[in-house]
Amino acid sequence: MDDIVIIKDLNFKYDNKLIFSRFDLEIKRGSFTTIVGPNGSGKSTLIKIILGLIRVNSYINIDQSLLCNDNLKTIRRKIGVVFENPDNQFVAETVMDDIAFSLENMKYNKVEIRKRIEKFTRYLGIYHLLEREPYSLSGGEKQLVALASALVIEPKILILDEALTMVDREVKEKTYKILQELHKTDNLTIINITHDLEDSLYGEEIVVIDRGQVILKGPKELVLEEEKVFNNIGIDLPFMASLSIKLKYYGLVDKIILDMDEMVDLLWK
Amino acid sequence: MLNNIMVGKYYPIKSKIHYMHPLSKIICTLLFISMLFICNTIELSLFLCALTLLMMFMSHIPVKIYLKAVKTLRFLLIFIIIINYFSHATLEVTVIMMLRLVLIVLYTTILTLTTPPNEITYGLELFLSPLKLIGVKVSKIALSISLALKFIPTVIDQGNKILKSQASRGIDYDNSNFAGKFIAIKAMLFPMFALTLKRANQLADVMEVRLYNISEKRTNFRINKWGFFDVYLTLIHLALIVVIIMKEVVA
Amino acid sequence: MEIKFENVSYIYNHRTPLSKQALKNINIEFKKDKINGIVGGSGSGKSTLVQLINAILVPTYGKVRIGRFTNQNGKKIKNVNKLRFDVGLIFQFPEEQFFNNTVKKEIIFGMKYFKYQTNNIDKRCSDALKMVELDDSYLERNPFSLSGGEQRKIAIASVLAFNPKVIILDEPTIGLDSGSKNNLIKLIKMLKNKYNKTIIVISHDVDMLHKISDYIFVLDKGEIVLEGTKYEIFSQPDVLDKYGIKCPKIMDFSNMVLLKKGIKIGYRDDIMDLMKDIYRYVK
Repeated sequence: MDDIVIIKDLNFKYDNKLIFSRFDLEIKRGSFTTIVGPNGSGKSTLIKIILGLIRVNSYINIDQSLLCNDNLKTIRRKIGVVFENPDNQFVAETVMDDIAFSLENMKYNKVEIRKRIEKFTRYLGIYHLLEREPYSLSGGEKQLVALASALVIEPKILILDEALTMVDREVKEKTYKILQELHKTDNLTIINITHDLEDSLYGEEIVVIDRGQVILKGPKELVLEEEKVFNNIGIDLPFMASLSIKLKYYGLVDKIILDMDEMVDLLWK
Repeated sequence: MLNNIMVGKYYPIKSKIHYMHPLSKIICTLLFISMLFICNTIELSLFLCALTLLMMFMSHIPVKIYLKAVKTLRFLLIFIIIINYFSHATLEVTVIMMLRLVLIVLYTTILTLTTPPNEITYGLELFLSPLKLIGVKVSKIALSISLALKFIPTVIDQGNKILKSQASRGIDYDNSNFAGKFIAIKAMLFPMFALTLKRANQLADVMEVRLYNISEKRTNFRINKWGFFDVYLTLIHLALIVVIIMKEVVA
Repeated sequence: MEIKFENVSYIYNHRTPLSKQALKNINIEFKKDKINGIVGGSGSGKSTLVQLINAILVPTYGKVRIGRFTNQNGKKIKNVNKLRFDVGLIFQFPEEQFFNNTVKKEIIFGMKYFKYQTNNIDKRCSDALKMVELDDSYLERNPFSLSGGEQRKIAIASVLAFNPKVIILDEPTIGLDSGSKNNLIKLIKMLKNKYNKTIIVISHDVDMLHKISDYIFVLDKGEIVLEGTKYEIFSQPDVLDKYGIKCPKIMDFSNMVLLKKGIKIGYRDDIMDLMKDIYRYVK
């Protein structure tokens, strides 16, 4: 499995503030990575850099192409993004036109556009919203539309930039289930940026960023053991991780268990 | 409060006018406005009035929506009456002036009520495309208009939210005198401006990432097709303007 | 101060093709001097409901009684600013309404220009800051230079400056990271315990609501479907699931143990207490 995103030695300053200094990051193809860090750690800036919205001079390799001015288009065709604020992502008056937007720009024909819109809106359960105006939808519905717009281009990488922080838990869980499915069946690489560590339970790997540095990286079961690190940067551990650590201390379990079912079965055999 | 500004916003129902191609609607609107200014007799003005009423009827939109648009003109109409009274203009001239004002507003409202903003700009872009030959940046103009129109409802919505929020802090528009209303608007405009700017920046990023390129051709997925009714109505307008020109020139 | 909804319905764009019923026949009585939580999925009508409490919206049908005021269709409230003295409503993302260059101006703007209370404005400002646990050093700072959590506190302070008896918070912790969130939770509890305010909190964050609420109302599609203490409500996961609402994880654990193993360990607020329960029941 190769790396689909490679960032080497990124240095970036903004407004005389050092945001990234000698920053390295690799994301494996087909992985589901959660990038977590407190507000102000540089997470959103990182995404802008990967998307080429902020140009830097460092080595950034996406899907075996070096990021530079000439191939921005090619690289962006492979990346679908959902941003944080549902209200600031709509480019059209109806849901259908919004989802069609990227495909129109890529010059797909009308038949193909219609086909894809139907496929993805049915998959996300928003087919009935096609003629609605985006700003009249609920927050959760808006983000599902934004997700459809991102998935409809059949990207290799899906980036969620704090996309589910404003959405209620039901929509969140439904969306994460869909993402996990896509991740399995289509080998979609998913990068989920968030400041809420509970969301990392839906992914596989965690990368922890603070003040422009990667301070922890690895599979979630291992990263979530590092209670002290998270306390230092002021991020609360997910409930199951916190419980596991405390139970481990008292000898009732011997490792981090993130699934509640599993934990209950283990404690009361 | 701000909902009163929403005059002429797209009214999504089905009608023959709604299904027309945006270019034909724009052409008919421009022909109509030209006719209004060419004709100088009350009979022709009333005829154009009948045409407008017929098209309003065909649009299936309730009359009170149109009346809202005309309501905003009431001061201007009174103003016209007063001015004409003092300049000793004839009743006929006054009536023609008032009719012109009302009919322009009504007819263009038919356009905006039956055509979503992106179609209007598409139609405008097509209409102005000959200007590309002389170097006018038609696409950029169309995009600016399109985005401005698209954002009107969201910006107004945002403005409403901010007004409500400020009301909770004691800055109450609805329950103040004139001076208070002025201050309340000020307290709304600044945050609204800041938010709109932030939104515009974020949207520009989104459009760029979604591969929008202003100078490139793109599939226009859902514009109404040019149909029989488009030809029919456009020809009628053309015929009418020719007749009116001939009548006026001959007279 | 009594807050009571009597058969209240609200319909947006009533009598137009765009009409949408947000609330259907709501009957609620909020608990005085307690923290009342309102939970519901997207589109359940939560925001509409609270705007009816300080008369930003008027019910389409029914009455809302707020102390000596009554909010109902057809009867405009005279001196509605007096209502705003008693009921402070803080919207989602309140920091978006900032437009002054000092914290002090932000907090007292409403009072100063609308002459709600011309004496002692400065003292009220300091008192408000104290209530949100910020000191006077913040007075001359630019609100736009503060962190997200601090901005949120300043926005809350500007409503607290009126010293309302009732405080309504619409999604107060949305968008905040853990540190700021915990800070704000502490603040809300203090407003009830130390300052004896009646508090109404709307949130979809059930974990947060569990930490602070005494009593909870569940809204679904514009109707109140459940109400009770937080333990009563969150011990019914299958009922809540029908409405698309999840339980706080700490309650979910106890629910799951009961369901799968038939053992009733306690319902707790704190993870350490839960741990002690588990320890007791496992050994």
